Amino acid sequence: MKRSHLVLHLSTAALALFLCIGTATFLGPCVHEDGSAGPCSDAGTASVLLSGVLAVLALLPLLPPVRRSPLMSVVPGAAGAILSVILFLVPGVLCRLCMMSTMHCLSVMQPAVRILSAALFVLFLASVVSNLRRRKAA
Amino acid sequence: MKRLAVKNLLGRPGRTAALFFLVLLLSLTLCGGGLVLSSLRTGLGSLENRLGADVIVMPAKAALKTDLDTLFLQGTIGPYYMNMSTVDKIAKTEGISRLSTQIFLSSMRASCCSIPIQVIGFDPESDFTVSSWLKESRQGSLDEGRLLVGSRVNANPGESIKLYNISCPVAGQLQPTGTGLDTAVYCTLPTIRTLMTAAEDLGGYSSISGDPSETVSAVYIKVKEGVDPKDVADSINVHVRKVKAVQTRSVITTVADSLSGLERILTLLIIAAAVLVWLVLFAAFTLMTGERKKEFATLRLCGLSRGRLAGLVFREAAIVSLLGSAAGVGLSFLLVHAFSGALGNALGLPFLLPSAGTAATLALAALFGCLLAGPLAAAVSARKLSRADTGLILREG
Amino acid sequence: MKLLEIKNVSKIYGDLKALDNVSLHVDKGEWVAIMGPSGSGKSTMMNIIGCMDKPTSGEVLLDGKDISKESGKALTEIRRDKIGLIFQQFHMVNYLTAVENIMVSQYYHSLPDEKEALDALERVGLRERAKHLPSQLSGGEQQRVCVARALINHPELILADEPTGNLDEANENIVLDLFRQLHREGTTLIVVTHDPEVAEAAQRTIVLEHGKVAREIINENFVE
Repeated sequence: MKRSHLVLHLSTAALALFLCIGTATFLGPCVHEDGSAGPCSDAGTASVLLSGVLAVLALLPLLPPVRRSPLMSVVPGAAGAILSVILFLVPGVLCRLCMMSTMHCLSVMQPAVRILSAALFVLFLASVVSNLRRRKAA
Repeated sequence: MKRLAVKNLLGRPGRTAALFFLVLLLSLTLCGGGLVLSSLRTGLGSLENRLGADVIVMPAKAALKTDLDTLFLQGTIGPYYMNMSTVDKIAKTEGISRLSTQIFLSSMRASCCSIPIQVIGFDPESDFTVSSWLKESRQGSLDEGRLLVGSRVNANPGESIKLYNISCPVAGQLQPTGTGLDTAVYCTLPTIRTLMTAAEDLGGYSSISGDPSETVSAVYIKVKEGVDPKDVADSINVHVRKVKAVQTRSVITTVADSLSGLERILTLLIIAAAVLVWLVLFAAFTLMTGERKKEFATLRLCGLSRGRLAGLVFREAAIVSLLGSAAGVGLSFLLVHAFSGALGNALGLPFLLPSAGTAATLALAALFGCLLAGPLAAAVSARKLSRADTGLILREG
Repeated sequence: MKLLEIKNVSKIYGDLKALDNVSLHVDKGEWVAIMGPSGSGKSTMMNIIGCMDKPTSGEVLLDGKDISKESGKALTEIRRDKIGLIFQQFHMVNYLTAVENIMVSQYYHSLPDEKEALDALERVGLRERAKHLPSQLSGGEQQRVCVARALINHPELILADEPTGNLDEANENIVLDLFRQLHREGTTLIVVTHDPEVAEAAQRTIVLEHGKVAREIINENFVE
């Protein structure tokens, strides 16, 4: 595997992992003063799960059985790109958030998830393109 | 061959990426910092515009427990009320041109949110603070039972907000002010009194004392022309018991003071960061001089004059600077726009994104500054390279 | 007819006389080797002839024109138009392909012409390696690209500094054969070397010692 491919997959996985840990902690949904979950908690949970799946998808092409097949290594990238779009839509469209935009879910979680999922989409797309080129070359 | 500079940049992706990242950082610092400062200034301007009153009177208890600027930065003064008879006494003070009352109510934790929503009731007939804002926001009249929501309340016209088990349709959304007023919802006095009764029935708002129809939270006063608002405030403070009259000018002064302090610190930080990044950029170009000695000597061997060699270094620096600064400007707009709410919360000051014109000027200034920074950092290297002894370098290998 | 004439040239660095009142000439179409031990002034001589340095005193006539007093810019132009340089260390731009390395020389001389650049590569036997980067070429191949680059603008003089210093015997022979071919075509060659075998390939050898011309040797066995 070329060094640039390795860097691409590892950086995608690192970004997805950062988003996963972030939405589970400091980039997460609002929490009531009594510690109970806010109405935006579903968006937080979905973001954590999806970004975790994205991290796994980014690492899949590094596994020898997947790596050996140029076609197989395109699949995780394509799935990752689609899931990144879904993740982009999670806070505010697919899952509801709180009502005031000064609140943590709207002021921190939503922009962070949107910016990082957009970046992940671009990275997954780059992975698909590079693997398709590899397939063509093979 | 005209694309020699581009070829060189693409031929060394690691080095190009490092230079690109440095210029991006520089432009992010300049443009992002400028945007934050500009948003704070716009926020202060908006606060001044929104303070239509010269004097605000609130219950003394509220004044004791709240900072003067809390009213505007957080929306309301909390659950403190005064009786209508007190309003009558205030109205008798000399020098008052217009007077209007408002009632503040904090919702219970509604299903919508993890923190309470502030509800502000006003009298459209006597009001001279909220009404002008409504006109600017092109919102029509406010019928009973309906709400207008601040720009940061995430509800669209046609939807409903449930407050104390009463479902209130949203009539419209107000323009942003960058202050706590954006997080409140607005309704007429009869509507808020209905909500207060509902709150009492639910036992969720014990601080309401007496008949809700006889209580108000704050009185807004416009003084007659030629009258000093300070005299009116002093007179109210002397003659009316259990209230505190505050000049709005002092609220603005308090905010402006905090802002100018923060502005100084931010400006210093931006300058320090920009200088630091530029120094790193300069060091990167200087280090590159040694690394690229042989390459440039080879180009001299191919017939490149000293001037053209310096031009090549400048062109490379300009291309990286253009791309890096454009990306930095784009990223700073994206980040400041996306996180404007979080930034406003963190800074605790009115925060309103500047107008498109101001933002474009800022972007152009940052772009221009960074476009100069790269070639300027490369200038010394270019001069050094073009003066190097070609023969010596080529023989040494 | 003289292409190069050096008259009483001295080059002094502080207390050191790198060249001490040297006079020599090279005729058009001649192949001359300059030999000498380290510190004999070979490199200084090469720099002055190659328009990369100026003498402290004396005259350097290239094609009848004194270049010893010319400005840096004028020297760059003379070097670009009249001299083809070849070095021991190849010196290719490593992010450009073989053909692009040749075209750079064309670009700063006149206009890049890919066909002509490819022909030059053909001449050194590297047509099929045109799109390769220097890192994908062997040392001998890189030196042959440098020879092609030196030839591309049809210089009056080819100046080579230890051109076979980094090459194995096979590649050394290829480069010397190329020089022979150039000589047959009428190109003037000055080869600075301390390899006697390379010097023996030339028509005449000038031996420098302590910055002075120690002796001149005419190669009786020169093969055309």
